[in-house]
Amino acid sequence: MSMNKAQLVTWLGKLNDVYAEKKEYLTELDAAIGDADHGINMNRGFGKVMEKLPTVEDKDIGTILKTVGMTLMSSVGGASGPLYGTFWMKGGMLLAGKDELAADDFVQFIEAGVGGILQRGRPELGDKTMYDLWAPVLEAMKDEAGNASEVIAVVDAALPVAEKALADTIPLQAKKGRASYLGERSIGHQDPGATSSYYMIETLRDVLAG
Amino acid sequence: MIGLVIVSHSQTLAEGVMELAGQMTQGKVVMEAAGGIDDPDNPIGTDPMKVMAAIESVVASAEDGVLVIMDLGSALMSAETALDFLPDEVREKVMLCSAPVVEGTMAAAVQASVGASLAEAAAEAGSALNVKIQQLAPVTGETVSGVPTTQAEEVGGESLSAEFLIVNKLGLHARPAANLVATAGKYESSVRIRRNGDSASAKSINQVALLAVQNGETISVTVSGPDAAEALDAITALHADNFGERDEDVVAAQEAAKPAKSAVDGVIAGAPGSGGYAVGPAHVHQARLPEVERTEILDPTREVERLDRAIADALSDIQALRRETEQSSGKANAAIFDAHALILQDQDMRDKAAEVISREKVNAEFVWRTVMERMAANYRGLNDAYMQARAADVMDCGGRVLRLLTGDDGPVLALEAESVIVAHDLTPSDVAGLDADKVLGIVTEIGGVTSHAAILSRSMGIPAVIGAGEAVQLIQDGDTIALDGFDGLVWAAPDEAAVRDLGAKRQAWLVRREEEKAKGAAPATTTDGHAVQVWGNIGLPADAPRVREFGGEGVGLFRTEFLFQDRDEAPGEDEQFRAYVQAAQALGGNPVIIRTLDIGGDKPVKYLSTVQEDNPFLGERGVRFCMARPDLFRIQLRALLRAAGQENIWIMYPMISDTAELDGVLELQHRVHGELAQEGVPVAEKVKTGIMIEVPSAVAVADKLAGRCDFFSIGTNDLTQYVMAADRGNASVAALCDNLNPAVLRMVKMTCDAGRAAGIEVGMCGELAGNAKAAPLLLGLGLDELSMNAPAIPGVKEAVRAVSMDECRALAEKALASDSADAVRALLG
Repeated sequence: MSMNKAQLVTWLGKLNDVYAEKKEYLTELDAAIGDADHGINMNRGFGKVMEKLPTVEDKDIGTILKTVGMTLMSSVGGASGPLYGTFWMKGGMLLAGKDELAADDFVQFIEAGVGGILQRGRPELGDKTMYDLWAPVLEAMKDEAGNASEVIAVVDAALPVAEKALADTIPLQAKKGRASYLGERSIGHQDPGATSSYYMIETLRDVLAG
Repeated sequence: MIGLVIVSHSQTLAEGVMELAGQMTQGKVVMEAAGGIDDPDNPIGTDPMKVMAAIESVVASAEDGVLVIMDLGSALMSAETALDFLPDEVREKVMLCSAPVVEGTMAAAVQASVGASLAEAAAEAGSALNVKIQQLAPVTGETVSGVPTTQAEEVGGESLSAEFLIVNKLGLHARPAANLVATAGKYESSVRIRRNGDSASAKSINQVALLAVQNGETISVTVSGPDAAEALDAITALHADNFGERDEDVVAAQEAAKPAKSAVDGVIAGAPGSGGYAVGPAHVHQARLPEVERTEILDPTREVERLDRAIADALSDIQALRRETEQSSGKANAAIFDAHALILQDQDMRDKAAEVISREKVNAEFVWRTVMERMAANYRGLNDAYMQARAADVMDCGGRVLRLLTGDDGPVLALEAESVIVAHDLTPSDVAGLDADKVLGIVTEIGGVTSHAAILSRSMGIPAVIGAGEAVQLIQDGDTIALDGFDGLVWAAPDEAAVRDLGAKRQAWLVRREEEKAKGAAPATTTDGHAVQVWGNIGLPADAPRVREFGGEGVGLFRTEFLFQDRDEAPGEDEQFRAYVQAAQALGGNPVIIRTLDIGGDKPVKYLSTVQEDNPFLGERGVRFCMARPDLFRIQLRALLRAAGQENIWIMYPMISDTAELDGVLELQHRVHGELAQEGVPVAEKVKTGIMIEVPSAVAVADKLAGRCDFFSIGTNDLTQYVMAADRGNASVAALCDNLNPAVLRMVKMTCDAGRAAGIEVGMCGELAGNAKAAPLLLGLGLDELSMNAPAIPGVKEAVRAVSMDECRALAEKALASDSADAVRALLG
């Protein structure tokens, strides 16, 4: 089964709810190793996305994704602005004109998005960033897309991988962003960026499962 | 020319950096600040769209491209993202630069102003930190690797050389260095400067700054190329103009800083902070923060309000200290307080504290102390000596908030007897409240020759050894110690011979100093016998003895604002009375002109309600402010009239703009005088009463005003701003604000003529009065009295003694007929 526009819009709406609900938690995670603004930033960013969404809801998926990216870019404030902004925009450029996504389309979206994160942030595996979550997730999605044809199966396969990757950020030492100034003190805390990324996958799973 | 875009998480920072760079380049370089994000609650962050808009705006007028300088983290990503969005033809003209944002922007801006390419500006910006590393090397032990000190730039043509003695107070530091680079950059010829064995290209701001030419050193300038003669002429003219610095920033070359000597046995070596010798008991100053305990509170909202109020009060104290320091020791010394104000204005720190207070319901003191200590620890943890030193600033201004919250003032640096102060470091606040008479010398553990403690001790003439290291901690309170501020040496436990030797050196040094002051003590009489009064300006009674010390024959301006600032309520009548009497007594019968309270929207005092004005300089200030608050004004007038009954005190009113205003003020004075007499309080029959001439309208009707009062005193700072309609704090018009502009001089002349016709004295108490070079001109214009900061007195007196009145009058005539301030400056030589 493919993923349609209504599901995409529902996903974004739910993400907004999730980031509102997790605002404090994400900020606390960030307070431990960063500048204590990730929750505030994500909540503000998706709040703005909700304001913009009605103007593009009836457009194609590419346009919606690009709008999400542009909005996040200029409203998030921290490093996650350009990172998530690029993520969604790259997907949007790829999916111009589409009104629904097959499993292959979806995986290409994620691949392009993760490519955007790589280009923008130049992270390496183990730097304790959102890329530590997206890299294994993308691999798992690609593997699944090779033998299944449903978006939900792809996301289902990725979810446990994401969960493990998220937990795996805890023992890492940060090498990027303001967290890197903490050196060894960043060890023992879950990465806030990887956490907000995890919510994207978890929320999509809930939306697709109905 | 290229332009700059400054990207920062903080809009305040980005704009501040831009302001600083704008000041160095006099607004010649197109710059835009792209800081912060569009969320009033959480303004810290970066926005790629803002960066893009800034680049597009700059590129429109910077045909040679745009250099983007960013702070850290998301600023880089936002800048890169902005590039992705720009059309190719714009993107090609943009270069991102990895230089540190403050130092890098300064270097890049100077390079831009002399027409450097993007790559050249980026390269200079990239090595901008080297200057600081090299300067701090004696303290930090860091070294600069790979500094480009030689650069092939030989061009054909003739080669010319000249030598120049540097008299700028701080040597060829930022502003003079920038002006030298700007001048050299205009010529095709190569321009190299040499100091001893070291040399640098005068076209590179980093190289010039790294050469660190000090006051009193001589540089040789070699110019080679087709326009060598013109280039050398331009540099000679620039040198004659003190590299564009005002006279107050220039001192006669003396005691060039020497490198610290290596330690002799039992002798601690530090930096020679301020020349002189001292022997005496140590006073060990331990800065200590108030003890605070964690207590639960019920009303977090109230607690956050308490914190906000303490921060606001601390800011207002800092601003008062800043003004006070600026008056007593100049703008440069006061700049540190701007940094402190910036730290306290940082919403981040305040918000963090507020959040913890609300979440955990804990008292503000405890939370604030935790937050500030963490912030200081963050600074200390950075791998950069300069940033590490900022931790002390956080603790200083954060501690001020803490003291306001707790009411615990901590140990004040107050000396009972003459002592040598020994401290880890002296904060600006410590030094500002110090009784200079009791300080024999100063020793600090950290800092360098440009630290605040060093600069202040020099301006106060106190011997100091700065940055003498951990060995200083061994000195105990009361130990007899000795120091040599010329060589930067401290004897922590001097034997008898050393005490005798240094004691003798101190005596000889004091005698030498006295001889210098004696030159100030003799009257200022022109070669043809015309005597001029040379007086001093003061802010507090404690400054008055210094006026006499430097040979001042009176006080031409006692600014009473300081009595009112930095406190919670206005001083009462008796307190004011005592202050006025005390100042006058220090002058031993010589006149002391006391100016009534001169505040307003531009200089607010926290307990006096000042309305937010759109244009405070044209608002309710000076007598306008006081006449609107008669209760406050009456108290001051009563105190003044009583003091004038005992001492030689004259009363002066600021900001008089027409006769009605003066009549109103005189009428009030008359009534207060009558009341006092009726109460049987002793008052003088007649008190000499005058006005400041600082508003152009007062000059226009000076003849009318002269008939109503006993003297005029021209305030050149405000008069210049009002005549030229230019705010000297506004970098883009500050150049207009030149007190040597013939328009200003003609106003001075008109005032003097009106005074003479009415038979009243005319003095001057603004900055121009302390400019020794201008003294003959001022005499020629007809001034009877000049009043200035005490250290300037001997120089002005010397200048008066060197000329005749005929020469002065001829000079004044030429100046009045000149076309520009620069032409007048050329006449002054």
